[in-house]
Amino acid sequence: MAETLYESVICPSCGCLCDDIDVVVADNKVKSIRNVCQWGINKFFFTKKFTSTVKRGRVERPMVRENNLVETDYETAVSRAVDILKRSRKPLVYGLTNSGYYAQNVALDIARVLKGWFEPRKAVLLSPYYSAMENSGFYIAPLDEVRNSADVIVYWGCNPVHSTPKHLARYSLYPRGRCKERGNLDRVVFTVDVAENELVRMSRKYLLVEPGADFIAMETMIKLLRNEKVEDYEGDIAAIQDMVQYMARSAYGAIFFGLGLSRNGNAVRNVETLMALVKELNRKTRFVIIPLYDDFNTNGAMQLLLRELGSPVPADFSCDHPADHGMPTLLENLHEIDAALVVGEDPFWSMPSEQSDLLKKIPIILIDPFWTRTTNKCQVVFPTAITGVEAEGIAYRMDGLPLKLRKVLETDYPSDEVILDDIYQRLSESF
Amino acid sequence: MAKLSMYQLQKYLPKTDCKKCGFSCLGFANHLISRDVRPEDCPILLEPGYSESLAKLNELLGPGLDFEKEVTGLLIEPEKCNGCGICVVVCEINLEKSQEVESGRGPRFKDDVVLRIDNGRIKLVDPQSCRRADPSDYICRACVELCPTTAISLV
Ligand code: SF4
Ligand code: SF4
Ligand code: SF4
Ligand code: SF4
Repeated sequence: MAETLYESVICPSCGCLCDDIDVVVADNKVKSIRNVCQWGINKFFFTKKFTSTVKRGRVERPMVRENNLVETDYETAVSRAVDILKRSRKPLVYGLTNSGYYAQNVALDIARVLKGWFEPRKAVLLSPYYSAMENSGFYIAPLDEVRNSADVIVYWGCNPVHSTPKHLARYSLYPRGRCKERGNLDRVVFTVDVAENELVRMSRKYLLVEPGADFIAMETMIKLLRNEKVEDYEGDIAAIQDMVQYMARSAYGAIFFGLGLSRNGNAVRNVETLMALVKELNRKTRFVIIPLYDDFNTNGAMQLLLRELGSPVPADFSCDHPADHGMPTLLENLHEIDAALVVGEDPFWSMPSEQSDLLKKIPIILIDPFWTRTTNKCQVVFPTAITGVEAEGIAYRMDGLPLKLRKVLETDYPSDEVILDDIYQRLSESF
Repeated sequence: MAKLSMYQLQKYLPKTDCKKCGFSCLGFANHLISRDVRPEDCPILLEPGYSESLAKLNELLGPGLDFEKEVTGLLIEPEKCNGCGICVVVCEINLEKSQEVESGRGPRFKDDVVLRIDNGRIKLVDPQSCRRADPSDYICRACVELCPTTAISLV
């Protein structure tokens, strides 16, 4: 049995897009793999996230709903999908954070011709971040620069040990860099979250906040940085003072934040306040801020929106100005939607039930390699190749670096890009 | 204990490269060193006529599963590990043996290191190169102290 070694493959699992993965393939199966974490390995062995012994069921053939889902051929599935989308007044195109950049691009075009709503997963959290970046300065840097220079690392509302496991070793605290030759000995970490996690042992200070109330700590820090009086902070003010002093005195800092900031529906306020804090810090020193993405190409989707519409918010193509609708979240929009095209995402698992209940009432077209909670609720289901393992693609790392994903396994499944493109071609013929 | 080489072990293997073990004989020797296989996993060695080689291999390899613990005093529980790579990056011996490790990358395929992430979890591939294996060396515990999931501890 011939073995092929693919070196320095990029892992298509989280926004770290680690580029040091060595994969040994034999008989068109991954035989062994090095340098990939427990989260990433599942992409290569088709197993469940963090339980790499449990296989995930792949969708074998395209399916359409008669009374139940029945297998069909690809052409029939495409026709059915196109019919549903053509009949819809305002379809939703959703997910796409596990797709390559070109697939995202075609999906956006589909939303555009159909006058629909285009929303990448997690836009709720990220739109305010990108908007603030646009308004208040571009506080981002390549991760290599962070590795070379950062002496303060802050994790806010995220636990990299779970969401982006190799982040600490590869990009933030532990790697050695040009000005940080001793790695973790030359840096300090601060963590802010609602409960203690594995970072406690690594952090100089671990600041606990009430769920969703991160902005109060941020506002307090801003006041301290401006030498204003703080009288009313109810939490651990000593930790905040220490953190502020340290950050202000550092030469270069990096803040990484995650989904924790969206607790209690406070995503926008929290992220905007955090951006204000970063702006304030940049009056004294250099600080960058980068979100931790747990899907590998969330950043690609946001970059696409910025490039195509000039604004990093979900796009509503039923208005004249698709980016100017003032409705940041899906929920406020979902009752207008009468069909959905979902790509690489499992809304019946990830959305709160008030949102997914609305989805239950409309026809859904799903493109996903695996069976999920959503599969059985769909009208049309397309199996697809896994981008970065069975299909090539472009993905944007969390710091905005575009990387070319490779293909290490052969498959008969079409990539999501091909499926989306076939749907798009058929749609544009009829408009 | 002197460091074993795969050529040294290969001498006692049947050298037929029949691949019944899933590797070539040399490959099998390499896996013997990292203790993922035992000499008994080669079906040919179990045939009559190879008993001396089998005994010799077992003698060279020592007491099997407890080997890494005995040499290093490190207790590794891979099922706790999430493959974060922190231990791989902080281990000074890894750093000596692989340039990649300096910038936080995993070692290259050809690099012989002490610790490595194999199939998503930690593996002590070369216990004899760990600093703890040499009693005269400074007693290192970097990987133990910095592992966020307590997958590495001291016996
Ligand atoms: S940290 Fe992310 S990109 Fe890196 S190996 Fe793990 S899942 Fe893959
Ligand atoms: S089974 Fe034994 S003889 Fe055959 S290749 Fe493996 S080590 Fe060599
Ligand atoms: S004890 Fe020290 S030398 Fe041994 S594996 Fe751990 S970090 Fe490396
Ligand atoms: S043993 Fe610990 S430090 Fe090493 S990779 Fe596993 S979890 Fe990370």
